[in-house]
Amino acid sequence: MTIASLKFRVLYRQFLFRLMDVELLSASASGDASELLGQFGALLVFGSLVLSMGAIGTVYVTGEPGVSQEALAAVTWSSERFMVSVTMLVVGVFALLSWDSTFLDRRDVLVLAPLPLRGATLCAAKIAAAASALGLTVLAWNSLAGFVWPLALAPPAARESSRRCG
Amino acid sequence: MTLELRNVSKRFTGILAVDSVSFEARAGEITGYLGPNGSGKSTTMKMITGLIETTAGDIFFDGKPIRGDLHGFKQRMGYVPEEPYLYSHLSGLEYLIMVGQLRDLPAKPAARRIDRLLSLLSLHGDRHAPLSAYSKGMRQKVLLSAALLHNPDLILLDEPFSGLDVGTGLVLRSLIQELAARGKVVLFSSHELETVERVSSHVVILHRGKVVADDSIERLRTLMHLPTLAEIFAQLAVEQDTAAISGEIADLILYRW
Repeated sequence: MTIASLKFRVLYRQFLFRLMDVELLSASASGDASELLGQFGALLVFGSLVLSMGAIGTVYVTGEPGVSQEALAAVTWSSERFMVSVTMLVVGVFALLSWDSTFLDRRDVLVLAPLPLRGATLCAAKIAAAASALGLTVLAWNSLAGFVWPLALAPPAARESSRRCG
Repeated sequence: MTLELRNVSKRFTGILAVDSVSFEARAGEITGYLGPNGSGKSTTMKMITGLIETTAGDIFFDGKPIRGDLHGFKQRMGYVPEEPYLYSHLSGLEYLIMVGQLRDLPAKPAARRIDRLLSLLSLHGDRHAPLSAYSKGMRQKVLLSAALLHNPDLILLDEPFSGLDVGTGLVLRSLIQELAARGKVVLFSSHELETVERVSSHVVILHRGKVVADDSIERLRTLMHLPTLAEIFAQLAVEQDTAAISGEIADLILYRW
């Protein structure tokens, strides 16, 4: 590993942690980075689990015999819109909470400026940390709902064929 | 090896914080940088470390302008800032490992050095505790360890005794002398004039952003016919009548209404 990539990794880890460093969580994480990331991920997965519960009700509606194609399409579209909206909301709330951590703050400057670091490495690590944090948030949020909802919204015929295959 | 400032100035939106400051700090010598609050000491330190840009003038280290190779200069510099800012979610050990990695130090020897530094500064027992739980003095010790970890040629100490207990303060005082004796350039600012007088061979006194004295303490004593650095400092940089002000404050709080 080159020196530049090692520095990038060290900074990336610090910045990623600080993006997740929401006061609500960091108080109980007591300085443990992996614990804090775990808590943050668990919080999102729990939200995803709650969201997946809605899929059960949908299965009953779309599984009824004699459901018209229009009604099925309406349920599917509204559910998809709901999923996309909720994901956007979660990303928005996360961006709001971590807004201060997205840029170098006074602490970063005082800690990192006396060290021999290139500006490009600092910026790349910050951007990578912000992109990763948003990506991980979307992934964790949709980890369960992303599987359960497509199954629930599949047309009855497809569900029937998958049951037969299984 | 010399740190040299030539006519360095810093202006903050109309306020001239540092006004054409020039001095030299040489290897093997401890240069005390003194001045009242707001005289521009920390601003000068921040300009030397590259934390803030100079408005005018140049800073040279080892004969070369630091702006020419700031990255290379920072590899040779250790800095203890006035404000003990740290990543408080890390433990003392994690913080020093991070600094070692960012300074390209080899992992195993750096780990051994960190372990030894933490032991010598009585932090070994708390090395896994988060920095948020450290006292100010403990944070200062971490900053000192971080500044010395890479064996720098230039050591900048901005109020290094702040928050330290008596024992550690005495260790630091000896350490500064030891480092200078081993050929390091040491520049330190402090309000503890007695310590500066004991430790420094050369002092620079700043007042309202300007250098008002730049000489050895011995020569200043002789020139000004004053016995102590405190009296020299009071004559050059203290404008207030300290006895009158303290008397007025006492009168004010003791007044019965």
